[in-house]
Amino acid sequence: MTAVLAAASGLFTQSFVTALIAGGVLASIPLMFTAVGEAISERSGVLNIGLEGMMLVGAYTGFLGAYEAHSMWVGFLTGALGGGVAAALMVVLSVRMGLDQIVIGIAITLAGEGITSVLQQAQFGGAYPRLPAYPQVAIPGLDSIPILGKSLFDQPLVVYFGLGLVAAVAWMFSRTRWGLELRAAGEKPEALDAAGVSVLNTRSYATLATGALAGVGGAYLSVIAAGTFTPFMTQGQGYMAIVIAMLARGRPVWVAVASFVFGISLSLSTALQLTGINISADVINMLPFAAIMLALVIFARSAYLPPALAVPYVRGAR
Amino acid sequence: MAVSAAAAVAIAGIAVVPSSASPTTAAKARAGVKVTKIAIALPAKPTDYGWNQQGLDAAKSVASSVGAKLTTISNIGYNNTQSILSQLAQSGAQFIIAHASGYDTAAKQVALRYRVPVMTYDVPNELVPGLVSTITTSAEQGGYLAGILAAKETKTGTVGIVISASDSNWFEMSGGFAAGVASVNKKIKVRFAEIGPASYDDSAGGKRVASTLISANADVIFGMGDDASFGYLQAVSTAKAGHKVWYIGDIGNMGPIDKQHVLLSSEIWSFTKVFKQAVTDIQNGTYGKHAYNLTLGNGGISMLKTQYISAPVWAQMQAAKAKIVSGAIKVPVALTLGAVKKLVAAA
Repeated sequence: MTAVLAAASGLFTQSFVTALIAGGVLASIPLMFTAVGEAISERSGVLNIGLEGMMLVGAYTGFLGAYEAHSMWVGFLTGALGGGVAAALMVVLSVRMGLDQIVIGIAITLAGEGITSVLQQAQFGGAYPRLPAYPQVAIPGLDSIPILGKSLFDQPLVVYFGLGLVAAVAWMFSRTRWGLELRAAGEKPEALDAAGVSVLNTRSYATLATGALAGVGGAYLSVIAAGTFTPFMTQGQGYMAIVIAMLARGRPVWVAVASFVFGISLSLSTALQLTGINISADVINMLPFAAIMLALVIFARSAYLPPALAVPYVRGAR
Repeated sequence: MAVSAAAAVAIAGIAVVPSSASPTTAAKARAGVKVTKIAIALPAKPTDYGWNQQGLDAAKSVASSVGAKLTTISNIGYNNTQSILSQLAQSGAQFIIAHASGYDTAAKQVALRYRVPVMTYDVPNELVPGLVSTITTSAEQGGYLAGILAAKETKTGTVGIVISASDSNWFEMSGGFAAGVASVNKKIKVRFAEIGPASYDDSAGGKRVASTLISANADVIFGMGDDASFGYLQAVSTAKAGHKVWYIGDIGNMGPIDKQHVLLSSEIWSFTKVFKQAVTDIQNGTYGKHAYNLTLGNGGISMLKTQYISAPVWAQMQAAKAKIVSGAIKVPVALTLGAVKKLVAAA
């Protein structure tokens, strides 16, 4: 124990703790984009199980765009487009044709895994090109705060856009007519229909937005977090995003908080290993998931799911 | 199509090639018969600068040298192994390399059902004469040399190990690395981290964890982990540590994609000699009577020599290699994470 404490005291320098928190942010941003997207989709009544596939497509197209155009912004744009195209399948098959959302979502995930793997091989073969480290933007004043400054307020610009997006979506949900229509599509679609608003169109736009945001989340993974694309690189983050969206009860601010908790837990699990603490690695690696499960236990009773979630809308059907 | 149909029947549980011959009898029947068709099944793409690429390169080399045709099936994952191996057996392969320890159970079943010799990994107590043999790896030996190299090159006095999964070979390499570091200087700190229990493909996680090691002052990173290795390389390549950070890889050579010149070395695994010996054993009727092992002594394990390793350091590594081969140095074998941690703590 003494040896562990000694090792830990030498380990937790300012630069190390800064890197730990920054690592947590790095891990949380893809989840945040994707889970905010899922929150939009779920609010409209569409359970998007295909997030994992949409993330992967976004990761591939995002990497391709950034690599070919030498611009991370092009990467995020192409990532959003890729995720949107994958989501279009969900729109056609589930929203428009009324096929089972879970089955179609799983199919999109499987297809996304296979297609991106094949495309990566066809495009790059064994080259595995890598992107440069993109510049970070420091927020004047805040970036000089010890430890937190460099870890939280010196990030790629897209991170700030992500936080702005969370605020914008929260405002949209609560203060705009489109937000009201979106919620109505998930809670009482027949009422929305009676009011003269197309339920199918509302759900379609929501699903496309979800795909685009999952694509941005995937692009963040390949363009910023890894700097390269490798097949299956999402490692189940799409599914985690679904859990986070449900845990947060569709509220974007809580989505951001839960994503950050997950990211920091992931980073802490690495820190615990580096201290040499004598706990099974399996236990340490469970930490991020345990954090999410604990939060579920605490909040699940009040978890709210729209009554029409995953139920296809057919006018006049009872 | 005929092959697929036969495999489908096999999947349904119907033994399409019933045989009452014992394995020993089968081996004797094959003795003297030239192997003209070899097959290899790979879990991932053979362009990974690692396990899959080394396996395929060796299989190609051996097939070419013995005049056999090689059938390759790659990127098959772990979900449909028995079906694919059955198809390879039905297609007339006389030697199937099931190139993943995750294929061991299915490979053995296929070998027994179709009477085709298969190569498995890391199961030396599962041999079947004439049909099933296995390859083990003294990975700790290369890890020890990598540890010497890292200890000689570190300027910060801290080196790091990162693995992407709870894999016994990587435990062995990690333990050997820690022992190698300690053999040079016990004051050098060794930091160890695992991305996850099975995060083989997590390149983003690889970059995150390797970056954390670098922030913990490690300036030489020994990384093990399939596609996660691309994340390690990216972390080292883009590190802003204020000093040079080196990367030591495993199994394959990532030199062709090392544009930032950070690859110091790699523990290379070569399967060529054991595959060739296996073919010889099949033809002699002695296959499955012993396992094969990759070691420094038989050339199955070696260290990649790059221009960044100075001649004196390389000479020291070669001297250590000679002592390991002669038995003068006994490298500890860590088969569990706990054993690795003990060696890391002792370093």
